[in-house]
Amino acid sequence: MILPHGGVLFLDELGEFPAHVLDALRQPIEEGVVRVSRATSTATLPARFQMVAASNPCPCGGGAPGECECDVTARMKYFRRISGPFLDRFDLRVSVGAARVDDLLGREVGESTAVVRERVLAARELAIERAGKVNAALSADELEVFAPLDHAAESLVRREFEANRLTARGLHRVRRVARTIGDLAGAPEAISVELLTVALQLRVPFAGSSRVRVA
Amino acid sequence: MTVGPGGDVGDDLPQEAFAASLAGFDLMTVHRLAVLLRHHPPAEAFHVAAGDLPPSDGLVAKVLARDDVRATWRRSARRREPASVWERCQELGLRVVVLGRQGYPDLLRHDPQPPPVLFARGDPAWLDGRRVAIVGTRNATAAGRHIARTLGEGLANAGVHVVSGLARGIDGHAHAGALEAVTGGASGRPIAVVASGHDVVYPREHRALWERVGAEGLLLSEWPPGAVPVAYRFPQRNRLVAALSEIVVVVESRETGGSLITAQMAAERGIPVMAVPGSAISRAAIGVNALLRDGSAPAIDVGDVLVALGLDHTRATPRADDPRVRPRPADIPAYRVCSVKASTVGEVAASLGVSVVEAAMALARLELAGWLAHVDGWFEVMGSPLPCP
Repeated sequence: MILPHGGVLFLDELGEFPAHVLDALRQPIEEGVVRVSRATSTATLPARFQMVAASNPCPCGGGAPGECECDVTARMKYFRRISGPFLDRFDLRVSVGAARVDDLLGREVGESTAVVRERVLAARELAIERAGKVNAALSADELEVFAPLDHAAESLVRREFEANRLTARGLHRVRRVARTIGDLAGAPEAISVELLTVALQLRVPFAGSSRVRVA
Repeated sequence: MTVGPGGDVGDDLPQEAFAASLAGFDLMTVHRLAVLLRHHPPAEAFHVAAGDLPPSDGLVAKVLARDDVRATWRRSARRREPASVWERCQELGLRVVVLGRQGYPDLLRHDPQPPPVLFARGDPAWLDGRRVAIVGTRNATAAGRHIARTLGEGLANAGVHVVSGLARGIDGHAHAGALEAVTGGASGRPIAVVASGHDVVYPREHRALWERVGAEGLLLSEWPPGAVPVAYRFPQRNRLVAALSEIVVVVESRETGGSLITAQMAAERGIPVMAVPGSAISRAAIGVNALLRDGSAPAIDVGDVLVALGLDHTRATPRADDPRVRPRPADIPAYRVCSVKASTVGEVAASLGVSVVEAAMALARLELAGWLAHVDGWFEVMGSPLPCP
C-alpha cells in the first residue's frame, strides 16, 4: 500500500480480486495511511494514492444491454463480488463500450494527453487558489463553502437520496467531482444541476440486472 | 407400508398422494410417469415403481427393466412416503391433479404430451378464460421489459389471462404488468408455470412476484415440493406454457433460447405464435425477427393480440396520447443516437461532436422525461418511439 504513495494504484480485472484484499484497501483509501500491527508495535505508513480499477462487466466481457453472451445470473454474480461499500469509494465509475475497429486503427484522432494535461493543470491551479488544496482533499465542511449547491441541484440530491441511489459518502464524492467538472469547464460558481447531473452520470451504479418491481 | 398379496394397499390416503410422491422419484421423467399412470391407478403405480407389485404391462416392465431405475426407485419409495409428501402439499395449499382423474384441466387432457401430475396453487378456474402467453429472453433490454409489462397489463385489462414462466427478464415483467392491472380491478389474471417445486422459488428475487401470482392467479408446476430447478425441467415447463395458451407472444429473443422452444412447442400444437418486431441490428431481437420472417404475425401493441384473439381491441386501455413531455429539439439528436443502439455518455458525445457535459445533460433530461432508460451506464430508448416532427 505504501508503494503507490503519491502515485496511482491500478487494479486490473477488479472482479478477480478476493474480497478480503479489496476490503483491506478501504481504510487506506479513506485515511491516506496504512497501519501495520505487529505483536510489539504499530507502524503507520503514508499511503495516499489515486486508485484506478478496471473490470469486465461480466465473464464474457460483453458490453451494451442485450448484447452480452453471459447468462443474467452469471452477470449478477460477477458484479456481486465487488462489494457496494467498495464501489462507493470510487469518484468516477464509467461504462466503456467494446472498441471499434476505427478507434483501433486510429482513424478518429482524439485530443493528445499534452492538451488534456494543460486543462487539468489549469483546473488544479484554480482549485488550489480557491481552497488551498485540490478538490479531492475538500472535507464535508469545506464542500459547503467551496462547492455550494444551487437550489435545483439540491432538489436533485434529495431525489437521488430518497431513491436510494446516493449514499452520504457518495454525495460528498459527487460534489467533489461536480466541483472539478465545473473547474474544467471554467464554471467556478455554485454547483448547478447541470454539473451535478454530469457528476452523477459519471457514477454508474453497476447494480447488475434490473429487477421486477411488484406493487 | 405393507402390501397384501392381492396388491391391496389398505390406506386412507387419496390416490393423488401416491401420484405426488411418484412425481418426485429420482430418475422420474414425464414420459416414465405417464407410462406408469396410464397402466395403473396411482397407488398401485407407486407400489409397482417401488418393486412391491409386478408391472401389468410390457411398457411399464420395460421402464423397470433398467437396473439403475429399479434400484433408485426402491430407494425413492422409502424416502418419499406418500403420506408425508401429501402433508407437505396440504401445508403449501397445493391441489394435486392427476391425468385421467377428476379435476384435471380439459385444456391439457388432449395435449400430445399431457403432464401426468400437476401441482396447482390458486384457482384452476382461470384456465377457462382467454389465455395468451408472453415469453422472452432473460437478457432483456429496458425497452423489451417495458413492452412485456405493457402487454401484460393491456391483456389483463382486456380480461385475458397472461401465461408465462416467471423467469427473469421478459417473463417476470409480463406478470408484473398483469398484476398491476389486477390491482386496478382488471379481470385478466397471471398464470405461471414454473420448473421447480412450489417451495423452491427460482429465481429467488422473484419471491414477491411468485407469491402474488399464487395468491391472485394460478401457479402451476409439474414437480412436487422440494424439486429443484434443474436444466431439463425448463423445456418441459415451456411446453406447458405453450399448451395452456391460445396465442404465444415472444417479446425479445436471441438466436437461441427458451422462448424459441416455447414458440416451437406452440407451433407443434397449432397454437399461433406472434412476435414483437425489433431492430435488425439488436441481438435481443434476432430470435423474434427470425420468427417474423418465418411467418409469425407481428404484435406491435396489445391491440394486435386482441384482434388475433377475435376480441374487440377497443376494449383494451385506449391508447392515450403519450403522457411524456416531448423533448426539447436540442435533445432529440441524443435520443436518435440511442435509438439506433444503446449508447454510453461518451459514445453519444463522440457521435454528435458535442462535449460530454452537453451529452450528459441531454441524456439526463431524456431519462427524467421517460424517453430513455439508464442501465449500468448505457442509455436505451423506452416505450413507443418518439415520432419525427
